[in-house]
Amino acid sequence: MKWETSTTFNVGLDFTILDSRLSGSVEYFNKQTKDLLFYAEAAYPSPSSGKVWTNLDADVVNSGVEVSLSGRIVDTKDFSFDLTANISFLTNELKNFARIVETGGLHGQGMSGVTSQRFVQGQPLNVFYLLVFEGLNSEGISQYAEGGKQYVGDPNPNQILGISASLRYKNWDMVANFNGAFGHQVYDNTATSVLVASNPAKGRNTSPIYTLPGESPDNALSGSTRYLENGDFLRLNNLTLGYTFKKAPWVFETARLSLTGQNLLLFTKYTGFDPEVNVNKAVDGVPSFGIDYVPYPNSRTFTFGLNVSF
Amino acid sequence: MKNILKFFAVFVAITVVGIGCTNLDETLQDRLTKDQVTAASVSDLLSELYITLGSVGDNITFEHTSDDIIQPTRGGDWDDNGAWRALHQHKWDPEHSTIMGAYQMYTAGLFSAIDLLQYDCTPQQEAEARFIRAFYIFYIVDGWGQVPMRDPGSALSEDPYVMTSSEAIAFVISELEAIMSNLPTNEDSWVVTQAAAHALLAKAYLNKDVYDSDRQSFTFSNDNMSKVISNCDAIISSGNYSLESDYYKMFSSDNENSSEFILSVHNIRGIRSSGVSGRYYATLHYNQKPSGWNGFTTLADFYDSFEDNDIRKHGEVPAVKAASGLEAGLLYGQQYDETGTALKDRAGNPLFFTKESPIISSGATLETSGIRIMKYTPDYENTNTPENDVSLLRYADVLLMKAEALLRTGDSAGALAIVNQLHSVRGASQLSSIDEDEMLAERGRELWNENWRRNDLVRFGKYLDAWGEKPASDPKYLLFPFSSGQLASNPNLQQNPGY
Repeated sequence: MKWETSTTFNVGLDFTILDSRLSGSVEYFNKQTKDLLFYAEAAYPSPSSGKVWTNLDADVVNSGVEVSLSGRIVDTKDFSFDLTANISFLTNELKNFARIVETGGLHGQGMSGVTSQRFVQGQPLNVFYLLVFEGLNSEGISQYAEGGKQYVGDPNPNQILGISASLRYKNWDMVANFNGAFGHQVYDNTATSVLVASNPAKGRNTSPIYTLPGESPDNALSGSTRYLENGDFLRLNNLTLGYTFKKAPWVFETARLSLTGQNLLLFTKYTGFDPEVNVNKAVDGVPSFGIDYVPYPNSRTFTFGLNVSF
Repeated sequence: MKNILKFFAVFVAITVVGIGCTNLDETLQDRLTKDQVTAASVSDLLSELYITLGSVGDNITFEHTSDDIIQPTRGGDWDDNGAWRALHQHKWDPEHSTIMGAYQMYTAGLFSAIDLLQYDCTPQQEAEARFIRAFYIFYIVDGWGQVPMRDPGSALSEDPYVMTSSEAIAFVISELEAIMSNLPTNEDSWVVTQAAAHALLAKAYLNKDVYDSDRQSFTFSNDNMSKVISNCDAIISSGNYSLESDYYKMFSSDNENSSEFILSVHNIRGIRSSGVSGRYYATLHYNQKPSGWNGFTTLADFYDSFEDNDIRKHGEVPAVKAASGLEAGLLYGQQYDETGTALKDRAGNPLFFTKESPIISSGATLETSGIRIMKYTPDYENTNTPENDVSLLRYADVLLMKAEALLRTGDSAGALAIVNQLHSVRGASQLSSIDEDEMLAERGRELWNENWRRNDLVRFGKYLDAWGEKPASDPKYLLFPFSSGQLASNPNLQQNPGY
């Protein structure tokens, strides 16, 4: 065994213009990882675990472009406004991978041994491999496209966005941070395991989002695109409002009051709790990615702060 | 400046350490070395090896692909993304997890047997381990055609070599013949004896012409059939075995050292049971005792292959009936508890197992479709880890192998006499003639759910036929496929044709 080898190639351009009012960078990167360390199926006959850590003759290629821009839009004595944004465009692909490794084990009634993701040649890591849902038939039973499971989605975002804005007016200041990810899918296994059509017959609740009109209580669950959703989101992750005293009262030398809120706003079409979720549904030690299975939702927190110095 | 120098020195030291640990060479302690294994530990390893044989009793891969067991999808239950339907209807692909799991299980058992043979064994211990190795090879060649092999003590990093179907069955035969004289003649049924070696030799010769072919067109040679007969005769003439008058006692918790068991897995209540409890949990309804998983059933045509007075169709084990009302055999119709009260399903309908078992059940018979398969009955003293031993090779099978070999060499009178001998013990009426179809049906009636049905259907040329809930299947399904992981990790292995 040996370490994996990664070769990274970067080209970048940093610039500052308009009297340092606008600065930024553009960078292209391409990272190739060889001799992938993997807990892979051993050649049988082998001891009963059937698995061995080995270097596979396979490559993982991560490549993309990162752009970042930072501007001082207003800068006066009483008022300033800075805005920074960065965005990464990413792709990853598994190459020269001679085997198929299943992962992303799903939970639910009648879902023993059902997996949702694969490591497979020519696809992104953890590509979703599922039946294609085509609606219900007249008896309320799920119909799937011919040909069985297909490669139908990618849990890895294509774009990752960060925006930071800061505003200062006299003694007041405000900082807002947004983060977002786009171009990926999330599998909602919470819906397939908890909120299913057979629930009412057993005296349990379901949800109109997850039980379709006319759906039979006998409809079998499946790992399918029915529960695969667009995971795009933009979140107001952090907002801080602060007031700094020019002349601190009493014995204090400086004083500042602040109010911080975290996870204040979430823009998404994802129907589960939160698209920014990753419950590891590993199969035989091979990790999954981008599966929502009864996680705790992200909490929303408010923090009031008083900073003083003597 | 001093501080900066100090910091720099620490930084250099960390960097050097960081570079120093890129070498991952280590001594692999993946198994016992020869000098760590004493005579006592050989006998412990051999006991462990016998326990692995419990997995050979797995009744899923080799039974669900046959015409005696089916797993219907019951609404939300037992769908499992169509995995069970793929098995029964012969639509599996190389990544089917059940087939991959069975292949891993048989090859892991094979590995344990190979591994034991590198140590200093007594001649009998060596013969027992070689038998078990041959037994695993027999199952692998039967299912997958090719058999990956290692030599005892060889490094795990070496690619296993691969025996073809013909090479593998020839190896099984030569091994069994070579070890025969070192095996005991009279022992508990969970110890390998000469009779077990004769029984497996009879299996090997009976199937040799199939394994030497593409499994579609083959003829049975007189030489091989006479070897089947001579090996069966060696068991019959030993006088150590006889047919059980009480068929279902043979599969109950009171079945230790049954007079029919030539080789069995020795289960001990509360200690180990090689998964035999799954045999009854899988088929029992939720409202039966013990509460089951409402799964496996048989098919209507298979049920109809029995006469009503045949005790193999339907019987009882008195202790089981007293404890739960449960009967033995193929359970058709209304079910009762131990007080004689008619049971109901979860929706309140009568718990009446229907004859038909559609592969996708629905409507009023969603929970109750299909005749249940109650061969190994529950042990109510410990339903999870029961006492029931599992039969691997059985005297009735030996008689039927001899009858089949006689039939295949033109002695249908001799075959008929044996089958009628069995019929008189099993309560079935005497046949006036016998042909191949009747012989296959008789093997089904006697040996259902004992893991031989797929093997029998292939040898009688019926495995690809349409039946009940299965359309005719493509010839590639005569062999199971290898997973991509196996093909990638062993360059000597070739995918079976058609996959």
